[in-house]
Amino acid sequence: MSDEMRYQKIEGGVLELNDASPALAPADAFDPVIEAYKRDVDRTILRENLKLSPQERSEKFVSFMRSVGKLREAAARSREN
Amino acid sequence: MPTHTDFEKGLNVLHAGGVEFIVVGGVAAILNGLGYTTYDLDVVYSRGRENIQRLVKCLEPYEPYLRGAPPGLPFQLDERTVRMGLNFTLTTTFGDLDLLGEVTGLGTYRELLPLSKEVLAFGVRCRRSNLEPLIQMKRAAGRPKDFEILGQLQALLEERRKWPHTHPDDPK
Repeated sequence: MSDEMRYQKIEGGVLELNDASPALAPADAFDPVIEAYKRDVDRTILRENLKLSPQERSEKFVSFMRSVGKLREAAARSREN
Repeated sequence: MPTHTDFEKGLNVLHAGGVEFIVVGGVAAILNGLGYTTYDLDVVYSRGRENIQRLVKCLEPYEPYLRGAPPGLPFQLDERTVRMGLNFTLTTTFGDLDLLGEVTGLGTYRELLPLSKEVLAFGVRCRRSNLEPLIQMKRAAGRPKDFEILGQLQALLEERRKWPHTHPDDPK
């Protein structure tokens, strides 16, 4: 069954299942709430990340989380003093 | 228990233990290209008997315990516990680990397997969920807290489809 047959677009752009099958909405299905959140996404970061390999993305993430950890430790120390 | 998760260690433990698993959740989103922070490692594991045996054996040295539960409960992550349960949110000595026998909307390891790809990440060869099923999982979970990341994931999907310089590990 095609996605078009499984789902119908009802007023307001919300998807509704045509049957009781456990099929999911396609990943790019329109949802007005998600669209509102999408407007604030910084796509330049996404484009930069897309140039990287998964290994490079994981290294970038680990580096960032280490920085977050150091900031947290520094904040905790400043609260103690 | 550590204050943050050592993702490299967690993936290495599962990989070295021969566990069949697929990375999902925030880490999979990052491996797909999202700029995001996450504090736990979510994996969908195969519910096959031998895989469960491998899973509990490799995690045992890392003291898996129910996350958020009071200390001292008679909890032991053994084969029987995993077989009787399905999804476990755990703390370990390498950090927070969510073991998922099934994910909302997409099902089990076997169903997610064709929707995943083996990649090198955190220095480990592991399988991560593709972007499309990640979006579908988040959407199926239906939690308001996921709206923001859903917006980011959908934007990432759009960018990946139109951006000409994506990495070969990211299918169009």
